[in-house]
Amino acid sequence: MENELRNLCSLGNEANRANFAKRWKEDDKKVVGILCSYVPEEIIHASGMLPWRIFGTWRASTPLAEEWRRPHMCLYCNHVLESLLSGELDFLDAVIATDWDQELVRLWDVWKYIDKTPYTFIIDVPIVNSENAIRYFAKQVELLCQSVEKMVRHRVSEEALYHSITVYERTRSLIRHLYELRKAEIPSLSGTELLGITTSALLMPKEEFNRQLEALLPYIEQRKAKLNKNSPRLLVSSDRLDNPEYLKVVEESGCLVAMDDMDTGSRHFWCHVDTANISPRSTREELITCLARRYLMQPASPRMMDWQEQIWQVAEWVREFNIQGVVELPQGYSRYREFRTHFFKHSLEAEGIRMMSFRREYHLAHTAQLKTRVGAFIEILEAR
Amino acid sequence: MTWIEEEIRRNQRRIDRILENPDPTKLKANKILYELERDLRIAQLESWRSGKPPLANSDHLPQLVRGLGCTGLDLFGAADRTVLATDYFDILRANSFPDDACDRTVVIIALCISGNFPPPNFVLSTSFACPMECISPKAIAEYFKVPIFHIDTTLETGEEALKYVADQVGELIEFAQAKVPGIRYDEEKLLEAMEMDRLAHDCAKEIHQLRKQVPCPLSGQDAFRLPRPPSIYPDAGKAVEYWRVYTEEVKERAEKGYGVLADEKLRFLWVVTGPFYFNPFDLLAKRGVAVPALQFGVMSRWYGAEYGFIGDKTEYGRELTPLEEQARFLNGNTWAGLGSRWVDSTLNMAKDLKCDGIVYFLQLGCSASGGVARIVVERAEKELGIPTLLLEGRQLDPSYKSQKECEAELDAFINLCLNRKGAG
Repeated sequence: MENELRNLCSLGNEANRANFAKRWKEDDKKVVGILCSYVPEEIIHASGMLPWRIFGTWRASTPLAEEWRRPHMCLYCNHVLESLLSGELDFLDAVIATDWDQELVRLWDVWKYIDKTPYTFIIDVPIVNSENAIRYFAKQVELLCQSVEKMVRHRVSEEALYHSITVYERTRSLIRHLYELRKAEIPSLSGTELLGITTSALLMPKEEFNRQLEALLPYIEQRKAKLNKNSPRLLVSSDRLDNPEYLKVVEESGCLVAMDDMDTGSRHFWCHVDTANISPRSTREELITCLARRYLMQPASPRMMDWQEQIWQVAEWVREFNIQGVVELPQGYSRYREFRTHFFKHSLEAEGIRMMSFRREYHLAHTAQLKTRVGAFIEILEAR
Repeated sequence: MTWIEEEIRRNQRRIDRILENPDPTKLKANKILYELERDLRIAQLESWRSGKPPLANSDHLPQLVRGLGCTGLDLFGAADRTVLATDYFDILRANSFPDDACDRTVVIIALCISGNFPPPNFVLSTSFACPMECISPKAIAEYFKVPIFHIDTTLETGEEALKYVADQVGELIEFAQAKVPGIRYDEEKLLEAMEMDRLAHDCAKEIHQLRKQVPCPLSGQDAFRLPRPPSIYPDAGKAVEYWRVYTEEVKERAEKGYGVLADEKLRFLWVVTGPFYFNPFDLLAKRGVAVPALQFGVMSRWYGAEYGFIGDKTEYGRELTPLEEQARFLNGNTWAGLGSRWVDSTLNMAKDLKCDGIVYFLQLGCSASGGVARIVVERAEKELGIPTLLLEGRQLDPSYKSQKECEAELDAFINLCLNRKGAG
């Protein structure tokens, strides 16, 4: 079982990440690249296509992308564009972006302009989550659905959409269970391993992921993660962090990453669809509104303007998971997070939570510096 | 002395200089403009000192800020006028804010923290132009713990988007009245501000037609100046007067066939922004290059090159309500939204003004323009047959690129354009 677990943890690695998608295409089915965690994937799933989260190349340099974008622009976007231009994403039938930030919109603009992928779509995601915003977002999700229908040339039925919601809910429940296991003093999985699993979940057909994880759960539940140290327990906060090696560097500094606040981790899987209000007989509008609410109300990324609620969410996780300190790893030129850092630090400190911030590259780099900084932070925490 | 006090003195010195020794080559309207700028800073200083009326940032919704009875704070406008911001970058670094985002959007945070400029009592945060223009006011609100309201603008325009944003403007009014002492919404004041801006907008449309003329009646420096709507200023009526005098002068020049350059060899469209620590237009003028316009986020609308703002019935096929007009403005910035909006607008402007080249200033940290720069280069060449210079730099930091380096790039680009035109 350990081998199966290791295998599941490594499916998101650069060498493996397209495997499932390419296998999917062998059956003459389509793969849709997703550029953001705010895209309601259930719509794509219900149409019979594979939603596949796009990660960028982990190579250090992005010479092809820099023909289009400056090196001091969002690194995730630069690395994704490098993958696109070097042909690594040629198998995609479509790409769907959001306006997560303007950098992502501009990546989509270039994507559309160079015309390498047959179909492109962008969805407008509000930066606030008021009732007015949820209504507006629901209309955007409906537009996405219509667009997907055009692509597959058939209607997405209410039954199919309801079924997809239940499949995704199962994935969320399974992953939430893994997070529950992290509360133990010696958890079943290290932070590195869990990020490996959550990133795999973003790339695999959900039914296949659910099947594999269900089979592994009994083994994972009795497993003890092999760690250098089980304390202090840290929470790592970042966006678009898809390389588990980053968390490995943190954990190798002498701690346990017991919780995360990331769109490739907890934030993406935390919030459930309110299934009490829907059924297989629900109308399309009801199902879509339910999805819109779920995606807009998920634990927010810094691009949403409810920063105080984001602090409360992190503070709640800190208490729930017995966390001693927060490590923020802002990806370079990710402006929402960078502008939030001052507020994040002071607000967490007001809650009695220590925090450090280290600006990272998209690819794995500056590991010695990161180790030193985390090591110093651990010393501060242990001296308390 | 604070920066805002220095700014009052600086504008007064400019006015005195004009009175003592008027320069016939400069626009006479400039004197009114400096008086407006001086009086704006005086009003801001008085509100800061007395706490009345409340201060609200006015870069995005100046008409509404008047309707709420606040004194407007032109945060980004103030940052532009710092010219050199070295000390402010230090303050940003010391407070964990990024120092490599777009200058005008980050410097305002430091301006307020340093005590050189008043922080608003109420913050309106909108994704009007770019995320930075949304989150830097937010960072200020969180730093000074003042009420903030966010308006989410949309990727594309249309009735649905208009309604969504107009509803939020209504919510903003309710929020501001409930949360900020001294704020009371008065629709009459909003309508009055809209009317003042409409009058100036009409002048801007006329100027746009006049600057197409060869030789160009406007200097590069005049064209580069960001237009400020009358509602920004305490005396909006005087600001309308400024626009009228300015338009009359340009008209007079155009009617006489007077060009600012003795021998206009080329014309460039200057795009995005530019270095504020030196005047690049001197070199361009010396080499016979006219710059009839600065292309930026609201340029095409403000000058009526595409749809207009206030009172334009062609865009939605109907008259808009006052709150819908605010929403139209918020959704009408070509920097925001899809890149095609910005690229198309830039190319249309270059074509409309018969430009021989584009100087595209790649402002460090500007995702709006930087992310589609190469598309502009390719499409300008293919569709208009003109070259584009991508001039990378910073508005307020010469250490990134010196005047000499900028001028060398401009000089080489002028040579290239002259050769292509067969005038080299």
